[in-house]
Amino acid sequence: MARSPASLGQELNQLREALENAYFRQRTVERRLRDVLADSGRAAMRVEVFDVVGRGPGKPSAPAARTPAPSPGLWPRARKPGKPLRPTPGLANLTMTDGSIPVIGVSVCGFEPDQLDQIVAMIADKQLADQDFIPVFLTDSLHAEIFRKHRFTFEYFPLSQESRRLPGTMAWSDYAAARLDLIKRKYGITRIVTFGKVPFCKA
Amino acid sequence: MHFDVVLIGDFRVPGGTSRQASNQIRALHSAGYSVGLITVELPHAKGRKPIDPLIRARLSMDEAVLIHDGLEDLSASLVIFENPRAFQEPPANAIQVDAARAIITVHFPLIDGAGQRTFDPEAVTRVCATITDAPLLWAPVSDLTRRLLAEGGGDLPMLDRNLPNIVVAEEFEAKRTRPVKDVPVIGRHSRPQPDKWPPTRKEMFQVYPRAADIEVALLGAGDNLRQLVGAYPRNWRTYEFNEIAPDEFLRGIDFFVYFHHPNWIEAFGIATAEAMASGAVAILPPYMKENFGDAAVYCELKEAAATVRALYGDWQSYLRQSRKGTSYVRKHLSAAAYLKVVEPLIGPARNLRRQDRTRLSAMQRFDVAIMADMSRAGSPARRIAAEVDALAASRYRTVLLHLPQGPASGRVRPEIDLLLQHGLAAAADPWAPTIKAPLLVIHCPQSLIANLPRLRLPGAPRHIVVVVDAPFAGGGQISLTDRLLRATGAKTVTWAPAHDFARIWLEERAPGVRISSTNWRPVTPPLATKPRSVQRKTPVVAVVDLSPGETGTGEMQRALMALPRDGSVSVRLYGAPDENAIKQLPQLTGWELFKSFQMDLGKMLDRADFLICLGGEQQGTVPDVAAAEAAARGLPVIASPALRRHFGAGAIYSPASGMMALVRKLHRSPRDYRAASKASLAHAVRAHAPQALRQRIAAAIGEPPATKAASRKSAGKTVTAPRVKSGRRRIMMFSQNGVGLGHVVRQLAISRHLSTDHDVLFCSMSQAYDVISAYGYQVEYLPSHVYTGVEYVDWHAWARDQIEQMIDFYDAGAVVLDGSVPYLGLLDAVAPRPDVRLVWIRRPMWRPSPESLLRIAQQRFFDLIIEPAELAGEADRGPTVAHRDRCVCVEPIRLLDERELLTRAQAAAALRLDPARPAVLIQLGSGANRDIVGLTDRILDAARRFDGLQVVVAEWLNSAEALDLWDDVPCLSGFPISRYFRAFDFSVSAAGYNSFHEVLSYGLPTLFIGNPRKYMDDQGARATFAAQRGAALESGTAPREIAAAMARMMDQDVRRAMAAAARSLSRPNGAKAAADAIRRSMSG
Repeated sequence: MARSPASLGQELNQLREALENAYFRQRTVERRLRDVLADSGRAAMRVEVFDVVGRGPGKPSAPAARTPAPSPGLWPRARKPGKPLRPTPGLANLTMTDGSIPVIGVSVCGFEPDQLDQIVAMIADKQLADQDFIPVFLTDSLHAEIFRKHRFTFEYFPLSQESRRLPGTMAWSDYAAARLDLIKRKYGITRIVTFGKVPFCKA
Repeated sequence: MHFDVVLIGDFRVPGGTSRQASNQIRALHSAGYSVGLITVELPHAKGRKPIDPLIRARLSMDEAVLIHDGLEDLSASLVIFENPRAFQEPPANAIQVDAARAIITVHFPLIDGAGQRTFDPEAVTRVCATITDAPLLWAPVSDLTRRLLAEGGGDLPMLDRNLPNIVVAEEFEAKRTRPVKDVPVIGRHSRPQPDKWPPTRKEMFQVYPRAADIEVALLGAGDNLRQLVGAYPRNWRTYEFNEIAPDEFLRGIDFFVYFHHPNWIEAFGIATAEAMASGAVAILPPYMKENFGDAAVYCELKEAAATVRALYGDWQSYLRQSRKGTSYVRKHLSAAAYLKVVEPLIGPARNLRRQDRTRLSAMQRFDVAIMADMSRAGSPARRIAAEVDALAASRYRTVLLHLPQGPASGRVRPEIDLLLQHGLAAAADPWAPTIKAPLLVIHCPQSLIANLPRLRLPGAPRHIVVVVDAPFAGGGQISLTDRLLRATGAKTVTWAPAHDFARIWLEERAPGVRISSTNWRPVTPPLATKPRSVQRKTPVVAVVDLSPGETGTGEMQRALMALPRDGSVSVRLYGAPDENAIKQLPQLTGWELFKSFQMDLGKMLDRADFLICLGGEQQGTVPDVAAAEAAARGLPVIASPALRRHFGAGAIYSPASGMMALVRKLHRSPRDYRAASKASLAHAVRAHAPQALRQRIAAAIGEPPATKAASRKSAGKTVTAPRVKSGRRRIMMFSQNGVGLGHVVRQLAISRHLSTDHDVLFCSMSQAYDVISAYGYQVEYLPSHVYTGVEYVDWHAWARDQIEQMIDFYDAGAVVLDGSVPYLGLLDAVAPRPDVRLVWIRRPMWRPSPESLLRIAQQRFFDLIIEPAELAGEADRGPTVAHRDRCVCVEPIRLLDERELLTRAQAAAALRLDPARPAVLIQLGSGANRDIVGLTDRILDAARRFDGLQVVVAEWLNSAEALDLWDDVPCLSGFPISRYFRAFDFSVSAAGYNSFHEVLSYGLPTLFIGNPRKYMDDQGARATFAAQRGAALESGTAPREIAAAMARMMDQDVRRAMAAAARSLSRPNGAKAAADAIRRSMSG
């Protein structure tokens, strides 16, 4: 028998709520476990290894610059704009399904992992308290796990000179601007909150 | 509103007057003057009528402005009233022009042949005075008009000099080296009114005789003439007024013989002057000598035929007279002659000339302009792309003018856009006045015809070529289009059919236009240097339909009728019908369908063995572009006999019923196939080489300037073409967001070999992008739809845009997917691009499922599929097995060669283990889709029963779970963990591709606990295979099973036997072979 939309919606909400509760419960239990282990001097030993094997890439070549795009009216390259995406609000807020809640860009570039972890946690708390935004983090950090543990959507763009290994067909600054524009359109972002001194996609 | 010149007249009436007005506008505009037009109505032509097309053309080219409003606030340096008869009554709407000067052009004699006034000069003067206060000067166009005006108009103030008519001689010129026919052809054109003809039937036949030795051609015949002469004689050809273009008419006659009613006086004789411009000798009544002097021959009416015969009999005299006529027109009736008279009246157009100087300094000069709707898929886009490439190779400078056929036109085709990005051509506004190119080539003229109302061609082309590759709706507009194109001042306007069917259609639709004598064949550079050879068990035939629309030319239907549907031959149909039509199709085994926007044609042909052309019976079904591109790749072309006239020696012909037998025969015989391939290549060079286009272009506009300069500079040296850079292309690894690191690791393994001579970058959907970065590769991250929690249908378009952005920025020449899901966004971004290869690294051992079959079906979009071998391959029951023949199969791919593993002592030291005691590594994956915490806990329970056993739990870098939860067990995090395998005596492992192949290849005894998730690879089958070979143990997840298996693993003899068995299964690392295959794909 076909289900009514109301009944389906109700069950979906219940399931989301259950997941939220499980997430909070797991987080609490895990934190408690770690505290107990630490307090008793029995924290698990972590061994971290990382080996880059082989010679690695050689000196990069420089591609020829491409002719800048003529104006779109003259030379239409763009496709029909896609429908803006509505990213997950994160594990702590799965019940935040109101389509009118805005998606906010949160620029977090130039931070050490610990600092980044704190900022993301702060945003998570703010979101939990206010329930009035969905964050998309805009970062230059390679530490994806910081966002992953909250299941927050994030976009990465290389900002440092070391992470910009290959020269492109245009200036990196132009590429960055094009990417920022695409990301804004992708999630329908109208506002970006910037933490730190380095805004996302600024060379 | 101020204009340099305001022209006031009735611009709706077709014929010589409007042509004159058009020429005046052109002359004034080119001299830098601004021109405004105000339309009034002639008394005998009142009512709603459109403005003459020639004037419309000027307006649409912004050479003049039609003034509708603001008539009360107009100023001008000069007002020109056109035709006194239009000003005998006040205009319907009040017009007021504040002008410095005013003239009225007198194209008509004041007194007609009967001595009657044709207009009232006093009334005209009064009406003109209501329009402007400027003193009116009368401007006769000829001495005759001047004399008649002086005789009958009293003391009218006149310009000192005649205001000459303008005849654009280039529009009419024709070669006159020999007579048109073997009898003299005499003709005339005029309006059909009675005054324009001799008064009686007898006199008509005196001038235009009924005679076998003279042919008569009359343009402007009508009811009046019919009433006058009755049935037309056999030696007469008659045309209604404007039935054919005057220039075309004039090229078909030797003599322009013009005699008229005695009541008529020809004020000047525009038609006569145009005839002279064409080189036809004019035979005229003596009174017209006042206008044309010795540029024409004068005689009485009854002497006309004899005069014709005499000159025809003395062809040298004819030619001398012909030259007198043409030089008269060029000298006295040019735009320069006209401007010489009006410029002193207007004064210098200082502002405009300054603008002109600026404009000229900003002028972009090219050799060739190509105009088309660049968003049209199919053969026009292919033609344009190949032509631009060939032009660039020949050093011609090309500008592309995108002229959308309508508002629904989409984005520019990628194959054309690419040319622009690589600097092989520039793009400009199709209406830009700052473009200059002597040759304009118009492809798919439908868009031009759709834009006729705003036609204003850029570039001041001397030559215009309109390429017609198929019949099109709107063919009825060709003649009008031709006239308007010629009105732009181009020296030649040529319609160039792409093949004979287009030629026949063009000749039927537009008999009056100039059609090139040779076909404008597609060009293509040689795309293969050697003949092809048979490579597959099953032949692959390509069928191509490049025509737009739901059914195209019907090639799909013909293919369905003729080609096998049982898979005995693989059929690739390019240009498939829409989704609804596809749903109606029968079961098609071995068929792959492509829509033209989904896939680059060249890539599809690259992977085929034959091109089959089934059509050709109907007009418009000539797949000449596909045949040319196939031949240039060395594909034998098998075509219907109906295409023989088009393809000549470029195909092997067979009726549809015999084509498959021919395909199989050639495919069975490598020698015959190679010979057929060689013949195709040779044909491509003969018929479609870029040199052919270069010759066509050079014939029109000469050699490219760069070549000329180079040849002057270094005479005799070869000039190389400035082609796109040929440096090494970059390779973009596209890593699927797997649950582990398998995709990334395989790609890193291959990249280690590729990066010796290519830049490699990563677009990673995996969040382990830090690993990639640490390995020194440029990396970007593309969040997956699964992680971001969005709908796939919405996500893929954004993924496509982001991937395209990366490809463009990094200039990637290949994109290499490692994963089991060919994302639609990835396919859309790469498959239609001719310059980027799409590679799929597809590890085997898929679980059979409906979804996996759909994913397999997407393999048609890949240029290369690499399948790394599977040690448990014989247990593979997945859907990839049946498609192995289209893969490049390589050995299992691993990141590390065994020599790169640390020794036991080194590894143990790094992990703080005692090398003297047994150690086990637990590596269960990332935990993204499996409860690895509970499972690890069970394994640890079992392990704790063995004293002295050291246990290490591996935590994946992209792990969903932290695994540092057990105080007695170290948690190992890092990469690559396999480098530390020798620290361990055995492992407990999931059976993913990488872990499985690493442990077996390096001889690490292992207890496999496969991940049973249905959308994963078949880990259970792998584990069972290894267990059956004695190379590993297999366990379920129950504690008792685990405990039992652990007990066996603790037996050193068991482990030793296991390691030996595992090593016997081991195979070399296939990473280098995979890298080599990717390199070959990019170069071939």
